[in-house]
Amino acid sequence: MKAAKAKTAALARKLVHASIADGEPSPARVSAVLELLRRRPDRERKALLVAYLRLMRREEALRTLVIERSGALDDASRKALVDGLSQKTGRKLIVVERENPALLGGIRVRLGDDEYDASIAGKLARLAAS
Amino acid sequence: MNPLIPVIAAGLSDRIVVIVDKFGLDPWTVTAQALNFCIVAAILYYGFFRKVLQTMDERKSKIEAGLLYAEEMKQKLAESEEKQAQMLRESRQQAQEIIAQSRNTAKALLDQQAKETAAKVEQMLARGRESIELERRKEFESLKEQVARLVVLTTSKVLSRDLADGERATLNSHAAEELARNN
Repeated sequence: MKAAKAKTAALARKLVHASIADGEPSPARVSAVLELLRRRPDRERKALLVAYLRLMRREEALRTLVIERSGALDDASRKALVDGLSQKTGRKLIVVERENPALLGGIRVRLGDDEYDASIAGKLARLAAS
Repeated sequence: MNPLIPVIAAGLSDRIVVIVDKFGLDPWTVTAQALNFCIVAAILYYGFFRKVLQTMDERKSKIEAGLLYAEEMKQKLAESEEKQAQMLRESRQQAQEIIAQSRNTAKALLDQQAKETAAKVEQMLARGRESIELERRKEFESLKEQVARLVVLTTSKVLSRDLADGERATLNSHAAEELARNN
């Protein structure tokens, strides 16, 4: 049972890997993967689909860069930040920007499980905690 | 030969004759008395004196044995006294040793107790100092935290109120560059 689950997870990872081209999911490859899954037996297909979907969501979260800012952010700085992180992660990032006055100044970005805080509020909080 | 000797001898003989005549001595009686005396002396000797002498010898032996025994006892007594004195000396020496040992033990015990007490006192003092230091640090940390919170609060209020849009944009740009540089 455990071995079957591990096998399914490994196969799902391979399928997710195969679905990505140039750092982002390729619709053509995803369609091909789904076609492949359609040919699998029912019992296997359901478990594989669930694992595949979970991993794709995870991949989507890892590609989503949330930028919180207080005030405007110029394009050049934004581009430098996104390009740098994209190069580091090897993924094509989806940028989501949010206005957050509580930051006082500066920005805070979140990418997957990682958070980078360069805001005034964050610095003050760290100062208060030290 | 001296010519006076026969004269003197003749004179003595005359005197002896005169004495014998004067005391009425009869040679036969004298002889019989001498014989009687010898018989009585022999009877007395063998009948009484011998036993008396034997008894005296026995008593003498007993007395000598008693004296010897007394001497022996005296010697034994002296030895016993010497032994007692020796035992007394040894006992006294042992007592002295025991007293000295007890004194040493007591001194060692006292020293050890003094050390233990000193160590305990030192430990208590250290604990007290540690507790005071801990309390001081806690107070200091609390004070620091309050001051920091106050500073942060004041700064936040000032910044949220006084920062212009241009300044915010500059800050954002710097922050983005900082993140891009560090990551």
